[in-house]
Amino acid sequence: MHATGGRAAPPDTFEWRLPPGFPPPRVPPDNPMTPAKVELGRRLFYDTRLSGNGTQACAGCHRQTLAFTDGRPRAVGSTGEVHPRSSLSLANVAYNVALTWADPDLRSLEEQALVPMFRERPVELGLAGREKELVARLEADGLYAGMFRAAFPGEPGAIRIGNVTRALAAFERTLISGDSPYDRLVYQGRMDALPEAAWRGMRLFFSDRLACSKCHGGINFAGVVVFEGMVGRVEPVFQNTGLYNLGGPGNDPAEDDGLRSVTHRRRDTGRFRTPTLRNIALSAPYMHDGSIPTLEAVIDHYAAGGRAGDNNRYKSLLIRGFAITAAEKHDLIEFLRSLTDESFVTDARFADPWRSPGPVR
Amino acid sequence: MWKMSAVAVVAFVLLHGAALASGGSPMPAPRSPRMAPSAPRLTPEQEAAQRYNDGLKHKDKADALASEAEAEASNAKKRAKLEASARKEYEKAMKEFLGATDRNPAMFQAHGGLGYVYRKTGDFAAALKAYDRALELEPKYTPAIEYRAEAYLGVNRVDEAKTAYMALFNSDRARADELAAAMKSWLQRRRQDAAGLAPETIEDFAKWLSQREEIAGQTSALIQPHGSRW
Ligand code: HEC
Ligand code: HEC
Repeated sequence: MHATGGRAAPPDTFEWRLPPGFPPPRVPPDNPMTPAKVELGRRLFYDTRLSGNGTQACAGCHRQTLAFTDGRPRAVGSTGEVHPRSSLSLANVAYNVALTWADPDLRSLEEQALVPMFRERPVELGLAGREKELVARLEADGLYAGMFRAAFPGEPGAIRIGNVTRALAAFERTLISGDSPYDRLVYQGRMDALPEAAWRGMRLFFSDRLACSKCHGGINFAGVVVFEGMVGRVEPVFQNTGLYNLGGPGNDPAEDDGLRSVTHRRRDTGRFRTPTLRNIALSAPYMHDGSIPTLEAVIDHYAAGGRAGDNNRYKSLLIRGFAITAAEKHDLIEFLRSLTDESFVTDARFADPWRSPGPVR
Repeated sequence: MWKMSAVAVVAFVLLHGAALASGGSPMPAPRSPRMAPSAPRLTPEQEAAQRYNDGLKHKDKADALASEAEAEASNAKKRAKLEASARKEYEKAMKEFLGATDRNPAMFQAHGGLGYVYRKTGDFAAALKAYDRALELEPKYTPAIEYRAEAYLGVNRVDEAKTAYMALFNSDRARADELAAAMKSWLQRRRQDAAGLAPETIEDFAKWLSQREEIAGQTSALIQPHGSRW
C-alpha cells in the first residue's frame, strides 16, 4: 500500500520497496534517503579502509549471509580484541527504538556508527585519533570523490566523518527483511506458506504458556518499534531472562551487567534488549554474550525458567519455566526457522559492492 | 498481544476507536461548505458535498430502520413496514449520492456511498460498479475496499473478498476486523442457503477465515489507517 506504485520517481527519490504490511521507517530530517547516499553507504559498510589497520569493515562483524551477524559467540575487533558482546543482526534495524543490547539513549543509526569506528574499549574498527587519516584515505580514492558529491550535492568538503555516518545509516535503513515464509503467510496471505509443524510452533510461540510473544512481539519479534507516521512515543524495554546468577542472587558477570552499567540502578542488573527473532536460525550462537549455542538450547533455557533457576530476584516475571514435549520443541524450532528470509540474505542490493557489480539503478 | 508502552496503547485505542466510529458509514462528511451570508452561489464541488452529506443522513436513517426491522423477528407485519421505510430512505440517499456524483464526478466518497445503498437494496452488480469507480479515483479509500468485499460475497466472488481482506489487513486493521465479522455472518447464511456455492467452497472459506482470525489475534496492527481522512 505504501509503495509509490507505478508512478515513475525522479532519480533522486529513494523508493523503499517495502514488503506488504511494513510501514515506512522513520528517517531523520537532516539525513533524507537518496539512492546515491544509500549506494555510498553500502560502499563504506563493506570497505576495510574504515578500520585503523585496514583489515576490517562493518561487514566483518555483520555478514549478509548470516543476516548481518558474525557467527561468533562474541565479536572480534580489527586488532583481535574480543568484544564482551555478540554482534547484533541489522535486519530491520531501522525500526528499533534504541540500539545495541542495552543502551536506552542510543537511538540513531548515525550516532551508533561512531561506536564501532572510534571505541577504544574494546577496539572494534580502531579509528580513534585517526579521523584525518580516514578522510585522507577516502579522498585518495577517486570513486569516493564522485560518490560523496552525488550523495551530498552542493556541500564543499563532503568527505567528512559526519557524512560517512549519514551514508552508513542510510544504507542500514534499507536492510529490511520481510519475505520469510511467516511473512508470506501473515502479510501476503499465502495460506500454504507455513508447514504444519511451523503452524503448531507458531501457536506455541504466541501461547500464554510459553509467553515468547509477550516480549518477542510485533512486526520484528522484538517488542515495540518506531516508524514513520506512528502516533505517540515509545520507550525501549529491557529484560532479564535469567541468564546469570553468579556470586549472589541475580548477579551477572561483572564485565557486562547490561542496562545497569548505563543506569547504575540495581534493578537493571542483567537486563538486555529483546532482540529480533527474524532470521534467527542464521544467527547462532545466541544471547548477548553468545553463551547459548543452539535454538534447542535456548528453548531449554526458557523451559527451565532461566539458567539459574528461581533464586534470581532480577529475572523477569515472564521467565517462569514451562513443560514442553520433544515434539513441541521441534515444532517451535520449525516456527523459528520460518522466520528466515532467504531473499534478504541473498539480495544483491545489500551485497558487497567491491566484489559484485552493483544493482542497476 | 505484545507489550507496548502506555502511551502507545492509548494512541492505538484512540486510533482504532476513530476508525471504528466511521465503520458503519461510507465516510465522515467532507468539510461542509462554510457559507458567508453574502455568498449566494455554491461551486459544483460544494454542492456535491452538500448533497453527499444529505445522502449520508438518509443512509444513516435507513440503516437504523433496517436494524430495527431485523430485530422485529416475531411481528412479520411490523417488520415488513420497517423494511419498506428503510428502503425508502435508501432510495432517498441514492438520489442524493447520484446528485453528488453528477455535480462532482471525482467525488470518490459519493461513489462509495452509492455502492453502499445499491448493496443494501440488493443490487450487487451496481454496487460493485460504484465501488470500482470509487477505488479507481482513490485506491487507498479503505471503506470502499471493505464494502466492495461485502458486495463480492453477495455474488459469491469469494477469492476477491479474500484479496480485499488482505489489503485491509495490511493497511487498515480495524476495517479488516469488521470485514472478518461480516464474512462470519455471510458464512452462517451460506451454510443455511448455499445460493449456488459448492459445500466444499463454503467449508474451504470457513477454514480460511478461522486461520486468518487466529493470525489476526497474534499480530497487532502497525500501520495506522490512512484514515483520519476518511
Ligand atoms: C568488531 C565487530 C564489529 C564491527 C567491526 C562492527 N560492529 Fe556493529 N555491532 C557489533 C556488536 C558486538 C554489536 C552489539 C554491541 C553492543 O550491544 O554493545 C553491534 C551492534 C551494531 C548495531 C546495533 C544493532 C541493533 O539492533 O541495535 C548497529 C546498527 C551496528 N552494529 C552497525 C555497525 C556499523 C555501521 C559498523 C561499521 C561502522 C559496525 N557495526 C561495525 C560488532 C561490530
Ligand atoms: C521476558 C521477556 C522474554 C521472553 C518471555 C522470551 N524472551 Fe527471548 N529474549 C529476551 C531477551 C531480553 C533476550 C536477550 C537476552 C540476553 O542476551 O541476555 C532474548 C533472547 C532470545 C533469543 C536469542 C536471540 C539472539 O539474537 O541471540 C532467542 C532465540 C529467544 N530469545 C527466543 C525466545 C523464545 C522461543 C521464547 C519463548 C519460549 C522467548 N524467547 C521468551 C526476552 C524474552
